[in-house]
Amino acid sequence: MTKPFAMIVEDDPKLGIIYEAALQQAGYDTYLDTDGDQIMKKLPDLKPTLIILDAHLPYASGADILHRIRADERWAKIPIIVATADLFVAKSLQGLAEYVLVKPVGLGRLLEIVSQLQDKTGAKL
Amino acid sequence: MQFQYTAYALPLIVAAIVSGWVALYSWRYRAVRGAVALAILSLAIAELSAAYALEMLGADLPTKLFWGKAGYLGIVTAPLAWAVFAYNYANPGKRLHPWLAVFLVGLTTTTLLLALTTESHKLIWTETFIEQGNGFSVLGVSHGLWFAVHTVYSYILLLAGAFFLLRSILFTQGAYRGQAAAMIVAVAAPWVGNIIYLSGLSPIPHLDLTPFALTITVTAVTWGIFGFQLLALSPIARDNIVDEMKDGIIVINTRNQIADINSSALRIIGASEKDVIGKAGAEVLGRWPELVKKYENVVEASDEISFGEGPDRLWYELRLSPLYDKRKRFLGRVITIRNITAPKQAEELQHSFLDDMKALQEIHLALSEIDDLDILYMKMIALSQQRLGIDRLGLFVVDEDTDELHGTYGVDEHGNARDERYYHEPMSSLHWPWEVLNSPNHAKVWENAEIYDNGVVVGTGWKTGATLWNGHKAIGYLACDNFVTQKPIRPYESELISILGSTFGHLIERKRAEARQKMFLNDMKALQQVHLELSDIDDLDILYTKMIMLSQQRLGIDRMGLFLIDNQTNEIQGTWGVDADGNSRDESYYREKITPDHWSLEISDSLTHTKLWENAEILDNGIVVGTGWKAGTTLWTGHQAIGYLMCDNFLTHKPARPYQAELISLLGNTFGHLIERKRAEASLQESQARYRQIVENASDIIYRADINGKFTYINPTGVHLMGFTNEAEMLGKHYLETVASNFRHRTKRFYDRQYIIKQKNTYQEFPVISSDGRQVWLGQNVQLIERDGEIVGFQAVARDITDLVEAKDSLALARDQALEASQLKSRWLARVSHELRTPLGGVLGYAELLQRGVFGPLEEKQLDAANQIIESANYLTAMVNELLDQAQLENKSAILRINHFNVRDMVDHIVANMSILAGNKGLALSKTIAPDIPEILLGDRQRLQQILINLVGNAIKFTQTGEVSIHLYCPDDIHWAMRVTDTGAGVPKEAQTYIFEPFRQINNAITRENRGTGLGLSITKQLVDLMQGEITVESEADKGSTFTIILPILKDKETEKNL
Repeated sequence: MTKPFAMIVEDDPKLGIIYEAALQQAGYDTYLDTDGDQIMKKLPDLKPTLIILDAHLPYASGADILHRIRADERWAKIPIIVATADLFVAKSLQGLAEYVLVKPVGLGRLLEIVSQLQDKTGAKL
Repeated sequence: MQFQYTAYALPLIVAAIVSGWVALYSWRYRAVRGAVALAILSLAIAELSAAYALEMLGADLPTKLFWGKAGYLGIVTAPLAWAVFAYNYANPGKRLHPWLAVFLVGLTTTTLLLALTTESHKLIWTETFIEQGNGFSVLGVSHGLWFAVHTVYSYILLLAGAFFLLRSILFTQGAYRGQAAAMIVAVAAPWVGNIIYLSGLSPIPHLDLTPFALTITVTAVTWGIFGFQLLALSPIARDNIVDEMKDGIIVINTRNQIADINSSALRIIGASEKDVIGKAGAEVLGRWPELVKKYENVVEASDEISFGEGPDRLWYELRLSPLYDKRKRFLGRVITIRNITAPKQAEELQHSFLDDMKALQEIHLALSEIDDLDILYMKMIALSQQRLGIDRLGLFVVDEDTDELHGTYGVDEHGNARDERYYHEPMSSLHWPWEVLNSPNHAKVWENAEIYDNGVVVGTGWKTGATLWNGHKAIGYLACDNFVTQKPIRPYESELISILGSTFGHLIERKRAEARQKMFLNDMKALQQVHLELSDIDDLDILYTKMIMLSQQRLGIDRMGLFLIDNQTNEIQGTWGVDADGNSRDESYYREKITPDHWSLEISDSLTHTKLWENAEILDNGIVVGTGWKAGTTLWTGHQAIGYLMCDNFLTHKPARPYQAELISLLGNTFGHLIERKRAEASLQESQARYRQIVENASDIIYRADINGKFTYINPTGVHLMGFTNEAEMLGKHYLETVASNFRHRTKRFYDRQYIIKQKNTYQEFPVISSDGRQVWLGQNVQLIERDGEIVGFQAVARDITDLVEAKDSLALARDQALEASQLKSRWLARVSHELRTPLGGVLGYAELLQRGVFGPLEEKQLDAANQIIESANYLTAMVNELLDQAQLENKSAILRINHFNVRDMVDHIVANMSILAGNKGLALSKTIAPDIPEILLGDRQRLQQILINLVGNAIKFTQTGEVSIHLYCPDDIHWAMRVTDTGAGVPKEAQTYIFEPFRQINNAITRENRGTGLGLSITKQLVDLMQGEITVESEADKGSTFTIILPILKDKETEKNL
């Protein structure tokens, strides 16, 4: 079994680092995209098992990225956790991602979710 | 017999043929006087000529002798026939004396018989022989005694005939001169023949020329008679025309002697023919010397003369005309006298009739001027006497009501005029007027009748009667006589009186009609005046009194009763204005209930709602006071009876007018309308006053504008509001002048639209500028005023809404500002929350990484510090969330997400999480869930969780000791409830009212331990409200609080299916 891989799209570098640290502790390899312009390019190479997505990004819209991933058969099944500080965006994206979390996201809560998703994915595998 | 031709016989045969032809010719005209005698004469001459010719042709003596005797038939007859002819010709119509005729015929016959038998007695011929002439032979004789007698006799007859003819010729004049000449030839011829024969001067000796001479005679006579139409004209003219004619004819010759006269003229003159013929005209006509003198030398004239006097007077027409012969020589004069008495009498009669007719016409003209009927009657009598020469005229008029004859003779039997009153006589079937009425032309003449005067016989004479006729009926009778002068009756007396009757009848009828019409017109005029006078009276009581009074004064109605219906009580009330004695009343009106048999119903049920009683009981105040006529009518307003009018002439007993019913009906109509109008005016004034008061005192502006929008009325409120002091200052102004200039266009468009689409009612608000420059807002209702479907103006009720508009404006501003602020706040909060969350994420994340030992293991104090950081960050996060929730709820952007959820799971999860917090304070957290709470409920789990955490969190926060319990139950079938009870400080009563308001906390509630936003309960309550639930608090200070949330059990189709 290969190591799970998580792609993190977060414009706040502090939070990106926090997510990476927490996920790496949980056994994940991580890739952090702080501008939102890399994810679609990297997806075919990195083949992540989890994506953590922020909504407001300097070069792209989180919602836009979410739609594009879900629209592509290759990535449609990748679990995505949206983490945003914007309540309105959070509400609008409800149902499109596996989880929509409103910042500040407690790490305990995040890891709990990640673990649940890993179980589901693992069971599938 | 033997004959021997000789040429000398030929003239004789010719003479015989000529005479024979004359005989035949004359015989054809035997009807002409003398023609028969002439025929006989001619025949005799023909016979004697023929016999003489045969005698001459006879060859021997016996033959000559025979014809000689035969010749005597003609010889003896000819003189007699001649004489008779001449006599007849000269004396027309006369016959010979019979004895003379017998003598003459006897003598002639004797001679003839003697001639035939002469051989035996030789009285005619004593001897006979043949006498030889030159180339012929005749019978030669010697004459006997009787021959001499015969000769004398024959000459006497010839002489007589000649005498008669010559005398006749002497009197024959003019046209008959030629005839006379022929007659002289005829007379002379035999004499000349005889003289030649007897004297022996004859060229042919022994030839008797008498037959030739006689042939010449008859030929001349024939020429004379027939050639000059002697027989055809003269005798017939005399006999049949002149003698028989009724006109008298007298012929006077140039010596003024009477030459001829006919029998009519003789009768007129009174003389016989023999007394006048040949006499001087002046002598014969001596009875009329003036006439003789006048016409003595007048040749041609025409005149009328009369003899006698009176009815026996005779009239003649006298005509003088000259008499000329063919050559225009004056012969004398003819006087024609014609009796013209009859036409003259007729003419006189006609003249007198025409005069009478002219008089009648003048009478008619004179009478036409008279209007008073009594004077008219008297004048009729007087003028008939003066102009028509009628001594006494009686005039009697039928009274239609009583069928009595009224009248009088204007003159008594002595010719004295009367001024006595007319007498009355009832008509009866035996009464004389019936005799008149039943006569032809309704006129009668009595001759030798008894003459009456005032019912007394005063003598005998003629009298006449005629009807006063008005074209279709007799309205009276005329009677007249000439008893005073005893003048004879005129032949046309009956016709005259008949015409007089007709003329007077028409005149009387016309005058009556005129009088009626005049009365009617006067009444109508009076009615109009009454109406005018009454129109000015406003007081109804005075009006009623005046109605009664004026009817009496102007229309001559003695008494008038006026009764009005009171519809409410079904009574009539009123009074007669005058009592039965003529005294006017001022008593109060009396009232009477209208019963089913009430007299007033008799009136209203009548045709035209009017009734005239004749010979009725006259009532006054319910008491019968006498008998007479009375009339009643309804007071009519055109569609409704409002009362009754009664009237009678009980005081003066004047008869009812022929149009009394119509008059009172008219009066009823007039008064009815008047009363109605006055009543309406009174009530109109009242209602007008009322409305005016309302309008004038209204606090609203009330005004009217015409179709152009100019003020026609404005109430004082409007006047004052617009800064004026009186209405006149505003009238005529255009409404737009008052509207604030920036609103004019809009306002004009609005009202133009109302006008165009005919919108009955509109409401519009706009500002107006008063004369003193104030701006006043008006809220205005405008109503269209329509008349016959056409808009004639506007009516508006407007109100000063300036305060309202201003209040509304400020309110709107405040609201807008508040709304803006709220939206701003929400946006700001959303932004703030976003900006807070991001760093909070960092704080919390790093603290948790520390706590989890990501950066290496921590000492106890380090770990505690990390925990403190995490706790603070969490609190801050909760604060941000609450603020955001409040913001969402305030601007209504919070949305519930309704889904199925397990309520027990939810409670368990909360209890699990909160127990740590409770445990930290040493409090027990318990939960009880009633079994009837459904396993799965519909709702927004997150929000419900938030609510429960809030309540439980509060309870833990404000409780120091004891416990906090959660209890879920169903208060009824459709609700479920969550109750959180604590044993904390409790909520004071006064605070219970505001603890659900945002940012409110119980005073001094904020302590170091109990800090919070003060939004928790507010958000909770708002969420509960959003869920259509209810939150209540029961609390007592220091004893704890119980918060109860009751929510509806939501059901969807799926849920229902499961159930």
